[in-house]
Amino acid sequence: MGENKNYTALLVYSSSYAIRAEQILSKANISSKMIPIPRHLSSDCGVCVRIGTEDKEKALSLLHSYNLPLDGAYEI
Amino acid sequence: MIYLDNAATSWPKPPCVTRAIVEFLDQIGANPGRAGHKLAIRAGQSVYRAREVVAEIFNAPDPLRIVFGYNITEALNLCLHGIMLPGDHVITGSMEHNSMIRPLRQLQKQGIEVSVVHCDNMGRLNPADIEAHIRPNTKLVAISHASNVVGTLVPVQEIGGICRENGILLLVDTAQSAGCYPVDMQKDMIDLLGFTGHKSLYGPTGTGGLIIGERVEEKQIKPLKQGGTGSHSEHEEQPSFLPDAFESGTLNAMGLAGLTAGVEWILHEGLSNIRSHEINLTGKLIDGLKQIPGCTVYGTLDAKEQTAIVSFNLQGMDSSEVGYRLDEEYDILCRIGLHCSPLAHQTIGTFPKGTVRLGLSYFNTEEEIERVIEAVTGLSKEIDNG
Repeated sequence: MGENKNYTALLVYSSSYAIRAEQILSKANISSKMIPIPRHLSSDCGVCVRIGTEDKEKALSLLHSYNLPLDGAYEI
Repeated sequence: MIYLDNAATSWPKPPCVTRAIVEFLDQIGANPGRAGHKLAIRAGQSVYRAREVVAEIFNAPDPLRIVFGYNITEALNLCLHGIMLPGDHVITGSMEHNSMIRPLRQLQKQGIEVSVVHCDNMGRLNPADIEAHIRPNTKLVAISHASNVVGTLVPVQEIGGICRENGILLLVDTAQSAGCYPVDMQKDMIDLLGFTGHKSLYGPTGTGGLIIGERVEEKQIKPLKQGGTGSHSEHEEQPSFLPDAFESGTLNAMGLAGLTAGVEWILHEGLSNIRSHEINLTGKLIDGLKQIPGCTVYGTLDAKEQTAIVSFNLQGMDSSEVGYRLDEEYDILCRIGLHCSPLAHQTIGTFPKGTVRLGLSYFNTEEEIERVIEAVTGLSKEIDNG
């Protein structure tokens, strides 16, 4: 997941949920990082979870299976 | 110095607790759950770790169902004021601390019905008496796991079973049991669990919280406060999800780092080892005090039926004087009086004079217990000699 490559931002309720999402993704060997929410996606001041777009489908179904609610998943 | 006021606040703390607090302040220090920079994320992770260890020690259903706050008083207030509505009925016991009784008496003025189940003079509560008080509008049973005056344990699991059978929620105050006696939210069928960090969880003051079980919807609880949560900041309305709905304002993150270390230390030492050590010391203390002429020891007098708290009085000397002289002449620190529990003292027959309370911890030793028994023996001889 290079810094300049396209990525997907997973918007979660709060930083606690971001930490939980990272734990779930990490166990499935999906690389992720908590980053500030891009301003054009939300005016919230918190963090979101950045993943490689290639992992998006797998990540979404995994997080869904753990009942982790998302406010959205945006390809950047 | 022999510190025996652990039932109020445990001391000393395991060294790892102090280290964790200092480490948080020195190396992290930022605001948890706010901003997206490295240190804020590390602060958030540190608080999340506290949720994980607290969930582990209580077998809570989900770390995010833990609402952190200052202490158990805040947790009980959140729960009682948040859940009870006019016309609802709540059942409690006669050994309760003011942290339970005072919010309930306040709620009574607002049209909530309160029943107080009588415990016997050893502080024992019969679960059948709870069942006998259930009404069609009973919403909650609110009970302390262990008395802060005499340590008597309540059969929580049995009460949990009664609550489930009758569709009632169970709130348990674990102030005196958390960390020194097994508490299992699932097995004991506890729906709402209040805990405090600064007693037998060996964390610092200013840490505690309420764990909200899965039978309780967050919408059922009205927040005590509204404010910044670092989440859904674009909305002027309070978020409704856990734990943010009830965690407005910056948390005591350095305290929670200390609490994490305290709970990890308990898990490492082994709760059963802590319990065995405390049973041993409590038994020796009860046996020793019982032999002293004029000394009345309260409670079940059976270390296995209680936590490591021993309350006593010396005939012919006020509890306040006993406490003062133990401190001044013997360097033994304890707590005298009513221990914020006038109802419990009425129940055991020591109201309004109170008792001398010795609250032990895992750090106390047999040698210290022997010195305490010698000291109380010394005081009793002085009374005899006039």
